Amino acid sequence: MASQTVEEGESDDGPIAQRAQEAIRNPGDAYQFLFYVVTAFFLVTTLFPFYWLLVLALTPGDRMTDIGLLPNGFNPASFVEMFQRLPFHVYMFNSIVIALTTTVIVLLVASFAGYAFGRLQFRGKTALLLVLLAISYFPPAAFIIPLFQFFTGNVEILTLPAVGTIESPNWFNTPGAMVTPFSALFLPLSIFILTTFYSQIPDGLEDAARVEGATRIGALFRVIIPLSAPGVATAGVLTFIGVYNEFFISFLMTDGQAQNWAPIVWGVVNYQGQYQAFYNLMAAASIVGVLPVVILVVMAQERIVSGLTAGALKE
Amino acid sequence: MSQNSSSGADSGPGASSSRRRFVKAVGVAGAVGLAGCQDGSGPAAGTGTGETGDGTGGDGGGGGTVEMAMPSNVTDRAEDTRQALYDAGLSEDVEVTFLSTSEISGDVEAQYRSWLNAGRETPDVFRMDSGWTIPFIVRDQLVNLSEHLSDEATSMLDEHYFEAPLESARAPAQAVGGGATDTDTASGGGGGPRGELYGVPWQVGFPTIQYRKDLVTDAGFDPEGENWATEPMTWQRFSEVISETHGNADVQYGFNWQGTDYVGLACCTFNEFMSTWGGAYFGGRDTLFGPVGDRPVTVNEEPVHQALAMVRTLIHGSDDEYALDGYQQISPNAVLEWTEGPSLSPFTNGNAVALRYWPSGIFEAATAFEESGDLSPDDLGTMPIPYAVTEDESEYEGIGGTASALGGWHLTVNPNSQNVDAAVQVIEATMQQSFRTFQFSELGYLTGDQRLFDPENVGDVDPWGPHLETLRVAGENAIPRPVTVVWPDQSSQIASRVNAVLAQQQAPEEAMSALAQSLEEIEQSV
Amino acid sequence: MATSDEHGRGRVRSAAVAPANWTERLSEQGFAYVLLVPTLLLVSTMALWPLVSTFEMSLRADALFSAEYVGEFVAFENYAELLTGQRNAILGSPFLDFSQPFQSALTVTLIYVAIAVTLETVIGFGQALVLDQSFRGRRWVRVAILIPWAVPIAIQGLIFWLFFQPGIGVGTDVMQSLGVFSANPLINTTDTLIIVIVADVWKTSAFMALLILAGLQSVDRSLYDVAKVAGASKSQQFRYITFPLVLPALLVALLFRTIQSMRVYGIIETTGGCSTLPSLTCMVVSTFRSGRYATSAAVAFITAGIVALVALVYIVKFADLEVGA
Repeated sequence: MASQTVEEGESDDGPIAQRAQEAIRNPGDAYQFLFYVVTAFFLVTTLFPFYWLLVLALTPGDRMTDIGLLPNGFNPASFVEMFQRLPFHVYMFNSIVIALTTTVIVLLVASFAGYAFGRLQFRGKTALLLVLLAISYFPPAAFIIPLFQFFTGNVEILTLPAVGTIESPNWFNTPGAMVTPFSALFLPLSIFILTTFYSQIPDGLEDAARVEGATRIGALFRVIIPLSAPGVATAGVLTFIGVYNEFFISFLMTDGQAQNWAPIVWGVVNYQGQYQAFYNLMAAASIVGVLPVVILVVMAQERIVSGLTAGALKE
Repeated sequence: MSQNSSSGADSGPGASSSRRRFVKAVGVAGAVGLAGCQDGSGPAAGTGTGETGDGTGGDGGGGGTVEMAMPSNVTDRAEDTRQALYDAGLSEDVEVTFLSTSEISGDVEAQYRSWLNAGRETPDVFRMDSGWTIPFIVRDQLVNLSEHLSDEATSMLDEHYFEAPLESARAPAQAVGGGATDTDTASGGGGGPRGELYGVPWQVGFPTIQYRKDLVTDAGFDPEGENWATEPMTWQRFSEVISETHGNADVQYGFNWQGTDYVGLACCTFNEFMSTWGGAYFGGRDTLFGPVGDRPVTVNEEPVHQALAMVRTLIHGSDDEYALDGYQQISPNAVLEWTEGPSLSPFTNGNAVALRYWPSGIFEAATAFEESGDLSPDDLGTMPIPYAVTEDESEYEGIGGTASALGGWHLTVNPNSQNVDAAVQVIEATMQQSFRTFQFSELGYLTGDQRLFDPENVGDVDPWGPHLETLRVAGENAIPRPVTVVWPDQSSQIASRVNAVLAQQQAPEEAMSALAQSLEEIEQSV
Repeated sequence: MATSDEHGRGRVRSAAVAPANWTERLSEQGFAYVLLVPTLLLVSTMALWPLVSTFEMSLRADALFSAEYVGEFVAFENYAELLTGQRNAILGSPFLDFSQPFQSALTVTLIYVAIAVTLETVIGFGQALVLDQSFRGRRWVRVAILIPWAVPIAIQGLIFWLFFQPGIGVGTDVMQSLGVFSANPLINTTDTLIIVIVADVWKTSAFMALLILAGLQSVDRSLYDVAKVAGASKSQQFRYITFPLVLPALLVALLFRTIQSMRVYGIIETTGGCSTLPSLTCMVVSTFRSGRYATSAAVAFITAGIVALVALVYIVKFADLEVGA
């Protein structure tokens, strides 16, 4: 995909001086070497804490002392025990459902908004963008009391003469109480991302689609979104991960039991007793919990690749 | 994780599988009799609804559903628990369901707070930490049990229960000090008349010192002969004992405890150090729970300074600038970063001489020693927390001598519940001997009934047997934390300052003077 | 000639695209507003209304003795007392105390943001550049580099807390012998700051990398071919092609990352704790937990104001670059 080709790396044997001379002769090779070194560096630094988490998961519960690079003992049973102690798969299911629903809603709504902000001129555009941005200035604690009152049916929305008082719904312990606020709170980032990407699509492409009879919304879905696949996929991945791992608001909106839509971090937290925690189980649960995200990221990366090689450009 | 709330004593959910093995091995289930403990209250099994006496009367046997908020080691045994309630005399018309809550005290409090503020009707029965029950009482968010409990139940509580847990479930004195800005509460806070009971102790926790009897004996001491289990020793002697034992033994740590900057330091660990030196945060026991704004702030006093100096000596030895003579260096530097979990592991792994810990530590250690190859539960000894100043010598009434920070949980009733009467019946059922026995032997909870701390009454419940006397002494000397509506703010200030002093970042007098000022400001802020 | 079947299908299809057709007839402004309806609906009910409600709470007094969340109306008294340092005892750490600047939440937060965001951006950009190349196993390297962002904050904190917990992890021993940390890093402000920065950079470089990578991958590859033909070196290619085209995505990433960093809380709470390392959101949460909801609301709005000021720097400087079209 990239225009620079990947050459087979040269062998690392040989004295340094020889290497340096080769590097001066072939700068491409030096870049090559540097590239691999840098990649290895990134891999090691990003994976080490995660590796340590794995070490934690494999450490038997009574040998949790002085854990260095290798576990003191080998106890893969923690990956089984975690399911025996808690229905962790239910927590995972809850998180996946809530996160997927929110991501779909956010991508849809943010696409419309991104098109408007990115490709249209209208009054109040800047002001509206600033308002959206301002939402992210506030910590979740600034939202939760009113939201909690709302979703436990304690807020009077309207009083109509014939109908009476319309109260807010009681969605405590249901996914609706989480999907709805999350959709709103994760919108600003996605809107900004999609606005940026949608605005970069040349007008000519959209016009070409319109000429063929597509409506503006049609052009959005058939031309602009596919061409912005990297941005859309990124916004989707970020939203999914954010909602999947959210705890602050979910803590309030459910009572914490797996059958009541408690998300995954609730599950991990429940491996803690009042004083002691099963760190190995928490670690195992975290690793298992990350798997759906990994699958999602792999799938999303596929979409990016295919989106670009699909070549929707006509010029 | 470093801010896990403290208090309470459960056997630790981790031990549940091994606990069941233990209990089965000893054949305790159902075999524990409480000889000579017939009390007037509590129906014999099978006579139906407990006599609830005046006030409640049967609600026509209509029963109802009572939802109890309980942690997972109870809800995992829901069927057994339910059966135990019925066996204790609960009417079969009352259906009992369970709501599984987190074990983390702070999270549970936040949940109850929001549920009660939203007016939720369930759960009907809350399990509330004794360390934060009083604010709910003061805010009028709990049912006044004094008005609903039968006479027999009330007299059982008065006669047979430890005083300290009950104190932490009563409406405090004059809830509001001067300067109330909220007109609703200006007349003296909510919570009804002072002294009324709003919670029944479900579980109690009294920390003790656990130590390696074998190592201590090897060093030449005589714990049995000197009756360490029931006669508290001075801190000075304790430091000598541990120091010599540590020098003589091949273990890594001496005296482990929990001293990091978290709620447990203020409420419990340092509260014990301070109280055993005759010091207090807010004066004697009668001003523990209030009135906020109208009571003395006593942290900047000599006993507190002495306690801080002693603890610094225990950690840093005689090189410390404020070291006290006669006290040995017995605690590792790591105590300054430890919460309960990390401080327990070395001891259960056999790598520490002594540990200050909640009763669940006794269970954990005994289990671990049993399962290890070279130790046995007999190597585990317990003693009450040492002291430096006796109660007579102390300036404050009721403070001094050995002290054990109060932990534990109460059962309280949701005022929005549709089934208050049934909920009270459930609570009364839990007070019956048969249920308490089930709670102790099957669920592994220490309960507030003093009779259950007498080995003669309880029989040989492994592994608690040899340690019940110590726990009873601890319970009789339990010191509650000064729970008020402003305690959360005060506790974080206290923990922060005390930890800074212990870590040699600040001088004791300077820090306590600043702390006194902060605490006073907080007192006056309501 | 259309058959009746095709007529039927046509009717269904035209019904489905009727909204799209209707929008064709709107002006640009009208169409924009229509597109924004779902956004406005969601945001005004779930985000703006709660903020207004919280602001109203901040104009009232704390009510610790009452079952209500807040008490009587006191106008801006909360704000005044907070900003003049009269509530420092309640806040846990002073908001901004010039006599002890490094124990003040504001200073610590700003230092943290400056260092962490810089490091994250540099490392994230490097990671994105690496991931932009095509090589064997790229897909898995991508996943590996992005995994830290998938780890929940509670676990991120747990990893580092356990690693530095004496007796459990070897972190303290290693760092102490290197002379970098004190004996008790988790109760030492500077050491905890370093731990929190490292933990944060570990996790959020992935966020930056994700966004920058998306920007890099949108760059038309043919531009590089043209540049190669014209004899441009790699660094020239970067400076004149890559960087300008990636800049919008980079700025969005920077803006949001800075805002998120200003709100740091979870990672502090789960490692050294808020009293070791104060931050702005720490104060919001601690007052919230104490039941002082009015004070908490006021602190939240003050915090938002400060974040707005910081964000303003970005906005003013790069306003024209951000939103294209």
